Amino acid sequence: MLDRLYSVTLALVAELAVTRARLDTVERLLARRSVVGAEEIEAYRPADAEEVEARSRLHAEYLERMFREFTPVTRGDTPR
Amino acid sequence: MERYTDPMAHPSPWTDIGRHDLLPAASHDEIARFDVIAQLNTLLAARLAPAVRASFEGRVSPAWAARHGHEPRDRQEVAEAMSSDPAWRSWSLVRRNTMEMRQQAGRSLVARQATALRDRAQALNEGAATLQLDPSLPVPRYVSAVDTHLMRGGYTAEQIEGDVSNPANYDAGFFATVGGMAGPWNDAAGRALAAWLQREHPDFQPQRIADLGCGLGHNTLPLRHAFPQAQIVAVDVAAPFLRYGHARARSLGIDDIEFRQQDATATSLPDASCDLVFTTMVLHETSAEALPRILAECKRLLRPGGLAIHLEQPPYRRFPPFEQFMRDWDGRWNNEPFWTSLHEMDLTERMARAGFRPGEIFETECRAPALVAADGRAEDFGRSPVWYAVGAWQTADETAAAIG
Repeated sequence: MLDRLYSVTLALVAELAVTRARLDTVERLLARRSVVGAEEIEAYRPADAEEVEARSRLHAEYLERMFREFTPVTRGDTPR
Repeated sequence: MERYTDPMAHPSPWTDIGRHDLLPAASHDEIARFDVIAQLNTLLAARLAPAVRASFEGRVSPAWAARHGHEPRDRQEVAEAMSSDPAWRSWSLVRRNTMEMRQQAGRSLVARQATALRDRAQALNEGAATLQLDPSLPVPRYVSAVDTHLMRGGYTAEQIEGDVSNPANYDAGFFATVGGMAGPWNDAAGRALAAWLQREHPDFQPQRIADLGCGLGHNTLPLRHAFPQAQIVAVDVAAPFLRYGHARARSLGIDDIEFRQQDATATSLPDASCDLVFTTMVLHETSAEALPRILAECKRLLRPGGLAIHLEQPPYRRFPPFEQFMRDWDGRWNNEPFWTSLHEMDLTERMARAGFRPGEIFETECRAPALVAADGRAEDFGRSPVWYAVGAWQTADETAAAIG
């Protein structure tokens, strides 16, 4: 069981690294073509309430999935 | 290569691999997957392995001493003491997983282009007398029974007619496993042997060279560069690797090495026909039954003044028990069933049993010379890959006696 947990975790570690590498590639290509630079990305602020809510929802749903084993199951919850 | 004892190295990105026509094409994410594996292996070496040693020295060994009245005396006692140690288990699980992930990354890479790779190999190999396959050759059980270092199907597996996907996986993935430390052509062992010969025996000019267990020939090619006049025969039992190796050599401009599908215990080469017979990281993948026969075959092939030499990892007797225990990991966890026996063996004694004169048998170290990048960029391939080597010279009277 622990062996499998390690395997899944490491696969996730690797895939996250692959995703970060891809994101890094995209950012560098955008910067190379002067579309969006690193400073612009660092200085990003939500433009309006809709963007604020979208980002918040992204995080909340993600954390819900990550911590599903720590959150109590109540009737009416969507299947996990 | 001492992967877990080298905390300083930065692995080379996979994009630094040497290009040839047989190298599988890789997408951005496939490359990134290889690079993550190389980084994980660096983490294993630089961070996790030292934690294992610290745990052994600080906690496990003293606890064992308190219970038994002495510290663990040999590899087996270290293994028993460490079996439930969290640092060791983590290191071992991560290492096992990097090997599995490396195989999976390589398999998925080559599976999607197996037909294209096969066709490219066929085009390069078409009509060449230098590729000699023998479908009737029996595959030794030590090859057929094991997915060596977790390579699915082993060396001889073929998914399609004329398949070269396992050697393509081997070629692409080996670079990731060692973080490029064997150089862009994965040929550091061959370069190390060539450099040792040229430095230690500058007058030695072999006319015929045999590489036994050549695999995809990555360590054969440096001998071609070192000895342009020599006739070179590369022998292996695995047809996919010979097809790939022959085509790879051709695409790199080398078309005069003979790749023959034969067993290293019984090649078709005549008695006393070679000046240099060598293996690189092959003996540990054979068996107790085959090893003495391979050493004897080397003896049979040599002319007077010829050299048999084998590159391997050093024997365990050179290391303290803890290091032996760490080095033994591949035997149990990386599908290398003969690994432990080979490293417990005294190969000089085995060479003597094969008929070499004890005074002509020696042990040495072969180190790959540092590489200079073609584009002048500072290149960090040189993690000084270094091998233990055992060799023996053939004397004139011995040859006469053997043949007579």
